[in-house]
Amino acid sequence: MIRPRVKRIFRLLLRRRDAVDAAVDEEISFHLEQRARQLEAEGRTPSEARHEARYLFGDLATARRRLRAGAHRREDRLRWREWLDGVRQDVRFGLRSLRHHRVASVFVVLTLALGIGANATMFGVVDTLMFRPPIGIAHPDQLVRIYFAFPGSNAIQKTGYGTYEALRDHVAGFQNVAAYSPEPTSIGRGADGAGIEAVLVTASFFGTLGVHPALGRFFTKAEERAAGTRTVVLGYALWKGRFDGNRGVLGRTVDIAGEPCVVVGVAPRDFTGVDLTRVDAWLPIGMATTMVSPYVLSRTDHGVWLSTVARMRAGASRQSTAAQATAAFAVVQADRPDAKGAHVVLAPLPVGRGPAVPSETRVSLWLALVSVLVLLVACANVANLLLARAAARLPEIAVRLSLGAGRRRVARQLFVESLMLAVAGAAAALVLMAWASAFVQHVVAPDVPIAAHATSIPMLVFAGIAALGTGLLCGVAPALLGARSELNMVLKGRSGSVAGGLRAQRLLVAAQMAFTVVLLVGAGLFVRSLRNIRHKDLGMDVHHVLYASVDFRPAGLSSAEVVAEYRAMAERVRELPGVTAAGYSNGEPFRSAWAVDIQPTAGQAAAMPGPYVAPWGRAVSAGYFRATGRRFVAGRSFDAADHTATANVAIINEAAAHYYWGNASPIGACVRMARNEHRCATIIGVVADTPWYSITAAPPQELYVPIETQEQDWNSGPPDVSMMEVGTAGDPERMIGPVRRAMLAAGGDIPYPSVEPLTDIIDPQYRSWEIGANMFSAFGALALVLAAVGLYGVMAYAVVQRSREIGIRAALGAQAGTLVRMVVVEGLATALVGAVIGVVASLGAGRFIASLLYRVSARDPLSIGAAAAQLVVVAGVASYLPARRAALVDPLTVLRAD
Amino acid sequence: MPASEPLPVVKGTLDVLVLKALSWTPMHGFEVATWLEGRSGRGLGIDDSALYQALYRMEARGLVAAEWGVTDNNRRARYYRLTRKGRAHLEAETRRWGRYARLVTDILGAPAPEGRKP
Repeated sequence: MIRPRVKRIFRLLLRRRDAVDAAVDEEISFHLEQRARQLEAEGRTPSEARHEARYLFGDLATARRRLRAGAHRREDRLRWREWLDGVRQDVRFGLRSLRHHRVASVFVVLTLALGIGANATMFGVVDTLMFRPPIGIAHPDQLVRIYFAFPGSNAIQKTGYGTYEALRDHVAGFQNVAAYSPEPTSIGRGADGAGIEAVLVTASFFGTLGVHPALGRFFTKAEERAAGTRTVVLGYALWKGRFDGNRGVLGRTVDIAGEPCVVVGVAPRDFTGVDLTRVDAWLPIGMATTMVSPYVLSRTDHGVWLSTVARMRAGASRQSTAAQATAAFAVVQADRPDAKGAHVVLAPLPVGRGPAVPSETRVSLWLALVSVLVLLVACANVANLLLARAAARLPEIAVRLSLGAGRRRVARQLFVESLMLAVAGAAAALVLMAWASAFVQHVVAPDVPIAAHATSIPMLVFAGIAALGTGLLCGVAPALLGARSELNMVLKGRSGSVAGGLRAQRLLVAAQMAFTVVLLVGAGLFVRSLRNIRHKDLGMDVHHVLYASVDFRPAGLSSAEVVAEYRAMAERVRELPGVTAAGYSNGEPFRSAWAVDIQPTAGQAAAMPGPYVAPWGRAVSAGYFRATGRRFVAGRSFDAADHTATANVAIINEAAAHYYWGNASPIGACVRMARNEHRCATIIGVVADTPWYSITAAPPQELYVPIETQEQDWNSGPPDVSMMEVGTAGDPERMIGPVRRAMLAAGGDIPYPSVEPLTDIIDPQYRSWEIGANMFSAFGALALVLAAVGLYGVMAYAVVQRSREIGIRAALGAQAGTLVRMVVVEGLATALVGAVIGVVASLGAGRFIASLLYRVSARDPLSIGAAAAQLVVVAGVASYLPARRAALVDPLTVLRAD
Repeated sequence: MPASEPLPVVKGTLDVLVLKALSWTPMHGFEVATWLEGRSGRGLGIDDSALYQALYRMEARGLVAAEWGVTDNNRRARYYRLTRKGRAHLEAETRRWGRYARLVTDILGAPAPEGRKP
C-alpha cells in the first residue's frame, strides 16, 4: 500500500469546468495505468494489459462522459455546501457580534423597524389608493371610471342622468354602464333611527361590477325607477349590526330616508362599490327624485351628481371607445356652450390613476417617497455602525485576509451581519405595523379601509423586499468602503486607516443631514399651509354650529307645513341650556343654496366688474345669523319687524356688495328681484363672505331674505326649508344628543333627525394639508433623531480614536474649552455641508409640491431657514456631548497607554 | 472462494463497501478497487467506472472527502478519506445490512410447516 504524502492543493484551482474535466481524465488515466501495471505484473504483455484494463473499466467514452457529469454535480454541491457553511459561520459570528454590541444593535433594529414599518405602511396606503381594486369586483381590469374633461378646467367624474343614458345606449365599446351617487341618509324613524351612508345605484350597477349578493338578490330593471314600493339592498355590516345577520330580513320593510323600503338582498362583506368608503345601504336610482330633486332623472337635467363606470366589451379599444363616448356626451350637452370641446377620459378604477387625482392621494404618494428617504437615513446609521465595527475588527479581518480569506468573503461577512439586522428590523416592523398602519390610516385616510389590508400578502412581500434591499444597501456600503481600505489599513497601521474610515462615515452623516433638511423643509411648508388655511376667515363661527335636519320630502308636506315643523323644533332647541341661538333656512353655506335672479338697477349696473353671475339666495328665520355666528361688515341683521310677511328687506354679502356697488355703501339701496319687478328690497346689512363649499374657492355672491317673505322671490316657487342651524356655547359635539331629543320631542313621528357639527362637514377639506403637516413632521422628526444619533456616533468614535492626539494637546496646555470647540466645530462642519446640500435639494424639489401648498411659496425662506436652524442646533448638541468627553480626557492616562 | 461467475453487486451496497475500504486509511480509486477485489477474491462484478461514480456521489453527499496527493512513485492521485459523517453512515449501514441478512437467511432456512410435505 502506498503511504501518501498528502499535500494540500487549493480546491480553487478545480473550480472551472475544464479543470474538473481534466481532473476526471487524470483520475481515469491514472487508474488505467495502475491497472495495466498490475496486469503486467500478473504476466500479461503490455498491450494485452492495456486492453484488459480498458475492458475492466467499462466502455471508456460513455464512462468518461458519465464521470465528468458526476464530477460536475459533485462540484456544484460542494460549492453550495461550502457557501452555506460560510454563511452559517457568518451568522454565528454576526450573532456574537450583535450580542457584544447589544445597545447599538437594539438601536439599529429599532431604527430599521421604524424605517421599514413606515415604508410598508405607506406601501399599503399607496397600494390601496393606486393599484388594488375595490373588494369583490370581478375582472376589475375590464372596468373603467368615466371622467369628463372640459376645456380649460380639471376633469370631473360627476355628470347628469342624461349622460348616463347616452353612455349606456350609444357607446358600442361598453358592455355595461352603471351610475351611482353616494347620498347620506337615515334608517328607521324617530328615536330608533340612525344616520347611514347610502348609495343610489342604477339596476345595472351590480351586474357591471360582477358582484353576487351575500343574501337575496340585487335590483331588477323594473325596480330601478319604480314609483310604488321602494327596495333596498343592505350593506353587510349594517345587516350584521342592525339586523343581527338575520336571514329573515328579506322581505321586511324598513324606513330609509323616511320612505318604506322592502329589503331584497344583502351585499357581500366589505363591498364598497368602486370607491373605498363604507356603504350601509344600496338604493335604486329612482329614489333620487325624492332624495336629491324631482328633476334629476330627466334626460335634459344638467346636474352633476352621478359617477359612472363601465365594463369594456372584450376587444374594444380604450381610445375608440373614449371617442364614441365623447360623441355621445356632445349630443347630450349640445345646448351647453361651456361643454363645447369637452371629451371623455376612461381611466382605471383606482382614483389615484385617474385624470383628477385628489390631493390627499397626491400627498400620500409624496409621503411614500418621503418614507423611502427616511429608510435611507436609517440605512446610513446602520452603515455607519457597521463601518465602526469593521474598523474595530481590523486586526481580526487582517488576520483573515492574510490567511487567504478572499475580499469577497470578508464583504459577505459584513453583508450577512447587516442582513441579519435588517431581517430583525423587518420582524420588528411587522409588529410595529399592526399599530402604525392604524395610526397612518387615521391620519391619511380615515374613510379608507386600509387597516383591513394591514397584513396583506403584498405588504408582507414588500416588507421582505424592503428588508433585503435595506440589508444590501446598509451592508454593501461598508463592505465596499471596508474591503477597499482593509489592506491599506493593515499595511499602514491604525492611525492612517481611521481617517479613511471616518471620511466615509462623515459622508454618510452629511447625506443624512441633507435628507433631513429636505424633510424638515417639507414639514415647514405643510405646517405653514395648514396654519394659513386654518386661519382663513370663513365669515362665520364654524366651530360652534350644529347643522340639524329632518327629511320631510317623502312625507309630502307643503312648504308651509315644513316651515311649521322647523319652527316648532327651533323653539324647543332654543330652550336647551348650552344653545345660544337656533334658526332655520332653505339653504346654508357648505350644504345648499338656490340661484336667484337680481335685476340690476341702472346705477348698480355701472359698478358690475364682470359678466352677470346669479347670486345664491337663501331665506332665513329669526336667529339664523346669530346661530351661525355670521359676521356683519355693515348695517344690521333682520329684527322682529323684518320677520313678517310684509317686510321688504334683504341682506347681501361683501362679494355682492362689491360687485354691484363697488366701494360705495349698499346700505339703504334697494335690490330688485327679477321675479317681482314691483318689489325692491332695501338692503339693511352686509355680511362677511363665506364659502359656498370649497374653502379655497372664491366666495359666491349671496342674498338673504326673511323666510316670511320668501314666497315672492323665487322663479319656480320657494324651495322648502331644509336645515336648522344651532349655535352652541361650548363644543357642539356634546349638544348633538340633546338637540336630537328636542327635535324628536317637537316633531312626533318624524324621520330620524340628522345632527352634525359644521366642522364635520368642513374638516375633510383640511385633510390634505393635515396629512402633509402631520406626516412630514413625524418623518422629519424621525429623520432628525436618526441623523443626530448618526452624528453623535461618528463624533464619539472620532474622539475615542483621537484620544491620544487630544491627550497630547491637553498636556501641551490646551484649555478644555478649546478642545470642546475643536470637536464641536468639526461636527458642525459636517452638519453644515449636509444642510447646504439639503437646502439646494429642497429648492429644487419644492416646485413638485407647490400645488399642494396654501399661500406659502415652495421656496419659503422661513421654512427653509427653520429647517436648517433646527438641524444645526441638533447637530451642535450631538457633537457637544462627545466633545465634553474629549475635554475630560486625562493626558497622563492616554500617554501612558502608549 | 472464487466463484465461476462474479455476482452482481446488490443495488446500494457498493457505497457501503467503498466506505468500508476507506475506513482505515485514505486511498485513491485504484487502491479501493484492488482492496475490494482482494477481499472478495474477484467474486463481485464491480465496474471500475461504477466505483468512481460511487466515490463522486458520496463526496457530494459529504460522506467522503477528496484531496490530491502524491503516490510513492511521485504520481499525482486523488485520495479519498472517510469523513465523520461517512463513518457514522458506514456503521449504521453495517448494522442494517447485518439485520437484513440474518432475516433473509432465517426465512430461507425455515423448515416446512407440519403436514405439508412437498
